[in-house]
Amino acid sequence: MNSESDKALIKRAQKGDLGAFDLLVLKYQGRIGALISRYVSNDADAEDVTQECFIKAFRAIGSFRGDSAFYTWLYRIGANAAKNHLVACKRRPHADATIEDVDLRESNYALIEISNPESLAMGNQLARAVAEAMEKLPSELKSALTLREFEGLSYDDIATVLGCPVGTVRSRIFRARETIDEKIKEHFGVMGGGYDR
Amino acid sequence: MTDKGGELELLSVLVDDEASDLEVRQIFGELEANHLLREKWSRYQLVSEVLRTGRVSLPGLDVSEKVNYKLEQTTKTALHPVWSVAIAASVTIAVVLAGQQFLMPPPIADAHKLVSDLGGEVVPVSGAEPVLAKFDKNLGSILNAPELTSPKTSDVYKGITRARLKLFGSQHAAVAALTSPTPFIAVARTHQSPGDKEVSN
Repeated sequence: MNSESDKALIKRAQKGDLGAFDLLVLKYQGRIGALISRYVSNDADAEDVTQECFIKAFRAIGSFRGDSAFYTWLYRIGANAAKNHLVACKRRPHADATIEDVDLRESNYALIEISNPESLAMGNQLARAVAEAMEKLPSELKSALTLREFEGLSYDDIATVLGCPVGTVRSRIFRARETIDEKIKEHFGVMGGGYDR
Repeated sequence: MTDKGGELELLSVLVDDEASDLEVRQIFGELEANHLLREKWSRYQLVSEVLRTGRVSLPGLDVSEKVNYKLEQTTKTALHPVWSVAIAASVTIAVVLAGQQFLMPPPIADAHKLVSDLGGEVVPVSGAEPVLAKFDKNLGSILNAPELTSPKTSDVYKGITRARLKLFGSQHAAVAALTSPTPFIAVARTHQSPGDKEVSN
């Protein structure tokens, strides 16, 4: 089940709301950047192509019908942007990966990315911090967040499973996220920064 | 950071796309006012990605500011065509008017000097300008031909000229008296350029 639904944001972005599209960029820039990095080895070029991908996506967002997940649609734009960049540079894609070979299944988006050690280390640290914080959560909060993130259930379904009102589900998921977020902030301080390879 | 529990819970609900239309409007109002909510959104997304996949993609990458800037510039440019059309139309009109002014002949500053300095008024006629009248050079050479300038021939032509002038003058006076208050001009004068040979009357 696709647990990533962006209907509210897409709807606003299709009406020209740049704030809504900004949230979509924040959500998907890492994954799209990782995809493009597989084909565009130069750091600055990869970042430029990633930007270009999102700009093209905003211009074409009116044509997104919702037949597939938004990320899948975005993925195709990113792949084409990377391909066009390579053609423009008159370079061939890496021999071990072609755009046509890429599996677009949700679980396979975690591609073998060409990244620098610092980025990998940061990612590993973050993953460890999240896992540790998740383990330390109170059981009711952990259950709610697990059903949402791992199982992809809706709030209504989670409320049915846990036998509690939807409002309680909302509150538990929020408190779980906040607890984990406080742990992340302790580890990394302010998130974000430049794209260094 | 002034974290209001209600705002953050709405943000969490938006992460799961479970917010109602009213709640979406609410949270976007808060996002515009509070930039830290945007950072919170980014961290919520990272946590979500880690929980679902066990990893995070390029945590240091952030193209959002640049993308937002470029899209804002594009949006501003898209709004400009209305003004561009207005400006273009104004410029076009100005060029056309300036071109018309350029192509129009310059006004005659003082018409009197071109006609006569012997006295008498020139009645200005709207749309018309005085024309400097003089004999064509070729015609002048014909009129100065020996057979025409001999004393006998010249006397004959002088006589004919006087008689015709008298006749035309009386005819003009009769008509002018009936149709126009303009003073009758007894003689027609032309400006004589220094180079012109005098044609005897």
